Amino acid sequence: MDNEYVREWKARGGRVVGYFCSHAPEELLWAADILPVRMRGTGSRETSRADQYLGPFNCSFVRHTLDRILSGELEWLDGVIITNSCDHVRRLFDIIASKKALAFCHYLDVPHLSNSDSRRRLVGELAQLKGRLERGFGRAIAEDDIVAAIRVYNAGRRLLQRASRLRSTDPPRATGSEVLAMAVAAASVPRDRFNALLERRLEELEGGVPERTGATAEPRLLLIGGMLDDPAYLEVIESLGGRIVGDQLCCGSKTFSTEADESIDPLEAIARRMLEHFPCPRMVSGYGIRLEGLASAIRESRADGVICQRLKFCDLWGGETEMLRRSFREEIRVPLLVLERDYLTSGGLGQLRTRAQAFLESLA
Amino acid sequence: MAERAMRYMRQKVEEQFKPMAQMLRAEMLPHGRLLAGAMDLVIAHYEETFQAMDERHRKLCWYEFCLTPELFLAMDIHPFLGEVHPAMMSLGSPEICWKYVDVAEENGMPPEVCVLDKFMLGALIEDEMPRADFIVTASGPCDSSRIGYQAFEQLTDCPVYRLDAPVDDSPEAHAYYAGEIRKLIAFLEEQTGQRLDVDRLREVCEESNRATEAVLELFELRRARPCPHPGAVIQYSYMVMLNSLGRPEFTGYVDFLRRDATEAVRAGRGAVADERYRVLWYYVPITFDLELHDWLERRFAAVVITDLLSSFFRQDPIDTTSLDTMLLSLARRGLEATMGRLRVRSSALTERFLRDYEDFGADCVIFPGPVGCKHVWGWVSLLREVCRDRGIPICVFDLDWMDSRIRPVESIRGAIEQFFETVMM
Ligand code: SF4
Ligand code: SF4
Repeated sequence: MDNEYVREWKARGGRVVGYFCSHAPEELLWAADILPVRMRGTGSRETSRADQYLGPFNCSFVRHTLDRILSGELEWLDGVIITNSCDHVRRLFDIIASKKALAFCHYLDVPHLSNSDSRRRLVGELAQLKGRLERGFGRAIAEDDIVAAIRVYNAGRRLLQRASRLRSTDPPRATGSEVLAMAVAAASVPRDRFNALLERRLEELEGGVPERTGATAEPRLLLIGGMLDDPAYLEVIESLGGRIVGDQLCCGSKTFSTEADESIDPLEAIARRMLEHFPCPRMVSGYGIRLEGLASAIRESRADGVICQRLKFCDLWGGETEMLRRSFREEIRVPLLVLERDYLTSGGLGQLRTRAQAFLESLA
Repeated sequence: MAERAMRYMRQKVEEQFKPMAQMLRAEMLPHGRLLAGAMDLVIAHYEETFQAMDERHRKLCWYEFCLTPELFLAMDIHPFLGEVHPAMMSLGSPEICWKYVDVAEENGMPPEVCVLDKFMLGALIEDEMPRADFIVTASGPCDSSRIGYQAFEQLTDCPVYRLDAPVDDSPEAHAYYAGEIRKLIAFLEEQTGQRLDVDRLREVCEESNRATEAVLELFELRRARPCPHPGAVIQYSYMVMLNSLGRPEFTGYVDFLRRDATEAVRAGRGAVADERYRVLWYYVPITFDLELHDWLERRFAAVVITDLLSSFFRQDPIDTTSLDTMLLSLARRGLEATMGRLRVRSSALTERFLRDYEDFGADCVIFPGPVGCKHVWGWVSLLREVCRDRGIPICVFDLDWMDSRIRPVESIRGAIEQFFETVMM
């Protein structure tokens, strides 16, 4: 999160606001000349401060992130926007608000269904947020600013889509871990600068000689699941000879696979994208859509197997894996490996290696 | 088919609920006179469920927290609140719960998911949930139920209708949810082939209001010292209420409780002879320890004056002026009077907690937090801080309120005992 670009942004007096979930209106922040950065717990080593406020049954991503906030390490943040992505994050908001750990805290009630009524409601919520940002940061947000922000974000999404496709060409021109690193970077670098950097990198990747020619023969994997922002996790799988050709991860392709409509009212466009971009298990009518999307991703990427990773105590992804196991057994008929993990990847790499190795052998 | 479901449920009703009702009536169990009516309502609920399943003369709707039964009753639909079913079935026999939890977990549902959803999933996999004509889910109150109902949908072949319950606690959010209920009416009309009769809805709501009035008065009476009724009365009434609001039988039962409590207060008679402690039981009942209240009363002269879930019901009556006002009231009631209330901000929960603590003249708090209920674990430490600042003694422990394997009776009682002996005495 706190990289050189953010530091530079801050040094020239810019504001930075954190957000928690891919159902977040990054464009609205950008339009207010605020740098939106996705909250992460990387860098956290222990959680004693957060442990005072969370029970033993709360997810480790929330725990590490909260700990970083409470420790004061993130005091350079000017605020945070929290969507009701899950019960853990909702309570994290309550804790931050009660401890007054950050100056600006906004809670965004994102509906769990997508239809015209829920969209209207979300547009209202976004308008409220807009008002609060204007008051809180002393800058009016013009409609044109939002339109321009949508354009910048969409351009970034299209670049990431291009990068994403490089994972599945034969031979691959990018690895799964590289693409995840790009998507993660996109969420903590000013988007216009990110776009320029990625454009350059893509030219290299697309124009150069592919390095991993041997990877063509490796089992093709699709990686899905909730919070995973550490490319090292993917590197382990790739180092064992698994080729990650696609993903459906909260911090991965979910952040870039759909764009906001540039031809309609900008708040409506943001709301639509938030509700309709590839649904996460929090969206209650989404399982059928998710399964269909997954089945077509498997087909298109010609995946030989799917790895679903989830954080322990995450009910949403816990229930999702139960359904997926059944669907894979009865309909999809592609091997599925379910892995449970803690947020900090480092502790569980040994186990990941063993399980992934066995899975890859079964695919061979 | 649903025969299996009917067989095991019938067995439970015949072999446990009915004998229990008789024993309660014969005062062979503590406070039997007061609790027998609740058990009668449970039996009647299941018998109606069987009848709806046998004869299919009425549609059976499996619905979720964030809704109350009035609208279904007005449309002659049998309301079956999914979340109360595990609690009822596990009453006094946790092995039923173990069975379904094990099935759910064997099928890949992680252990940390709420027991209610694991129970229902396991029962569905075993084909032992009541066969519903349709399911109505409200996308709340928690992650567990949000994902649970998606999993149930995968296992059933009946239509599923979804409402969007807002997390927000504002008048706008209530109005939005009223709109969601309005859309539900169209679905129910389609399923039943009947139009909603607004006058009939008003009648049911008025019946529900009579019960509400009695329950609110009952709460008022419980503020008296000594508290006229044991904690079990309020806990069981709440459980029954979730399926029975709007039924005259429920109104009759709570009216009986009101009259009895009025008399007890007048006579200075308490649930416990020499009431020593007034306990605020903040959160779930424990379905596998039916003697817990009695034990608290005998061992410490402690009476549970109210509990978090029952207190959710301290709500305004339904405004029956028009369909719009009824829908708005039902929206508020669904969101605020059921476990749906837990969706709101911690500060609002704490505010309510302090109101209850003060209103009922409590001396201490027992907070049994279910392991599966994640949002409670992000609130309780803030609550503890408030208690510390105000000198409110609080005893927090984790448990599974139906699955006794997580924390057995002895351990729960041990934690409470230690609290009373070290903090309260
Ligand atoms: S991983 Fe699951 S529990 Fe953790 S923050 Fe994400 S959705 Fe919530
Ligand atoms: S006990 Fe908690 S986790 Fe379970 S249904 Fe109720 S709110 Fe959800």
